Amino acid sequence: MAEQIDVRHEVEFGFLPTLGSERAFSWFDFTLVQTGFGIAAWCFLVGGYTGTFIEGKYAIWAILLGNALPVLLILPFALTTARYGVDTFIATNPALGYNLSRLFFVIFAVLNLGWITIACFMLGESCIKVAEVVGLPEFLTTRSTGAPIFSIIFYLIGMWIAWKGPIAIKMFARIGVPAIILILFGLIIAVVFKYGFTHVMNSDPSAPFPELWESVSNSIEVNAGLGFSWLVYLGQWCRLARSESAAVGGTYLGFGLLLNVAGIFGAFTALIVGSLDPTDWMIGVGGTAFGVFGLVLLILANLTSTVVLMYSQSLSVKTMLPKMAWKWAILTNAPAAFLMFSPAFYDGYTKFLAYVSFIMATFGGVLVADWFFVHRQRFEVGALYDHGNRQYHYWRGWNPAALLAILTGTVCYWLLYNPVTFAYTKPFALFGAAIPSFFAAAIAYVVFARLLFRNLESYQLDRQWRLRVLSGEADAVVVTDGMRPTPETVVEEAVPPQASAAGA
Amino acid sequence: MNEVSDYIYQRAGKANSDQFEGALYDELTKRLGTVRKTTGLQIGLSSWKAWLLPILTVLAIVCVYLFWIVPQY
Repeated sequence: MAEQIDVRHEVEFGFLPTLGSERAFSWFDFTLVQTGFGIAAWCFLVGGYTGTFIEGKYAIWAILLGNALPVLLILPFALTTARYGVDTFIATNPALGYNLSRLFFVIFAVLNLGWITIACFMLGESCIKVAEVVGLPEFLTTRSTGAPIFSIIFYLIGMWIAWKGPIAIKMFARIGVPAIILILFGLIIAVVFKYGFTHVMNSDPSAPFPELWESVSNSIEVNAGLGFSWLVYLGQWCRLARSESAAVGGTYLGFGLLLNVAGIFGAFTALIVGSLDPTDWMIGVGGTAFGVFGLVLLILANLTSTVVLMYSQSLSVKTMLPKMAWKWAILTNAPAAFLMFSPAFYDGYTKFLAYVSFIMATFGGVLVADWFFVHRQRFEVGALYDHGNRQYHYWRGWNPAALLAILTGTVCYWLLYNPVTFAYTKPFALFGAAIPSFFAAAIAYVVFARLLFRNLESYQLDRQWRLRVLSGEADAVVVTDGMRPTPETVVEEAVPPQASAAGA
Repeated sequence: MNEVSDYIYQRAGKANSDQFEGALYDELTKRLGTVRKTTGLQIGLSSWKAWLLPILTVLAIVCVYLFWIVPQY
């Protein structure tokens, strides 16, 4: 029966752990894909917000710090998924338990709809500006009617490309990524040659806070929201990286560094034009002809990002429900269309980013702390999938240590920064709220897992299994393609004896 | 078929003769050993050189922030 399935197809679409020979992305491809995914609507928007808060000389460092530090903090999770060749929501099982991983997946799916909406709505806004230049009817040139119509049209096109699968995405990225590079090139030319760095550096932000620390901290916070948001997108791609170095290096270069070029020049342009919206910049900076060209490139760039977002979500749906047809997995992106009916969601970007920020920072803290200090960089790969194995089962599939740690991180975040009212306290001044919340969740998790819940059956089983691995006993399980293990071999040697007795 | 546990047996669709899930989980149980052998037992941080760039650049950025921007607050 195993011969009847198309293994490559299934690897591409998410469920099976990838073997070395099946990994498609070299270091170069990987960096290209991550950069293409990273530099899009959200990146220009975050840069734009930063440019409206602070001067250019501070914006550079706030953007670099806000993105590079969070990406470095969650980078061990990229290594995890690359090492085992598994999707994000399978690699989270050891830290969270099977059911909390499922809940994390649901949270991801909801937040992903928000990202799709932002990319598509910016695309729609670009379209109405082009429509205005070419003289289309008024209902196609307004934010209330035109932008939603164009957003939904391109959203459907994106869905079709995502349905075609990763090869189509790879081909499409070869159009989308150069488009992004051209936009950046245009912004850089405008900043350097048309206006000059001196003008940019001396431009005052259009909406600064009363104190410098407030402006800088808020800038770091919006950027950190973007930096932490990559957590849930790591597995889908890192499992296809040909080496751990490609996964770590490509992820950091793409999300941690190269993305910042767009953010920084976005901030500079916002300082010149006085608007945070990238669709305002194109004609404002380049004039009509170059502006329309820039808007078309922005449309392509955002379409690329939309496709990758849709593919990532659908892929994860397939890992949770492998029997689901690919077309139905793609259709789980459908609710995003409802958020495109008005500009309200797009205009509330910073609020959305704040929620993303505290959720991903707290989950990230738990996942990374677990990898280093609790599971000590070793997962039992069978138990990642086998919900009948009690090694990662905890309390009915919920890890109480992780739950309490996430709660701790959340309390920390809300004490520092309220994402509903945007009110903040003085300690927020140094590193914002998301970065401290990451550490709060990480420290709490280690304390809870190693002290309070130390005697939990799952942690005991894991310690026993690790001792067996270190002593060489568990290494006896060697199953190669074409060789089938006997039931006794796997049950007795791959997992602790107590684990196999339990049901799902 | 019950190589790993009842959970895999159930997910493999044997009870309701679901060929797709059966084949998928057969392939999974075959692969688990290979993945254990090739990746699951690596030394942690085996790709340590890949960490140099991220750590050094973030250190530099944090230093600029702490020693240049923060004193201006």
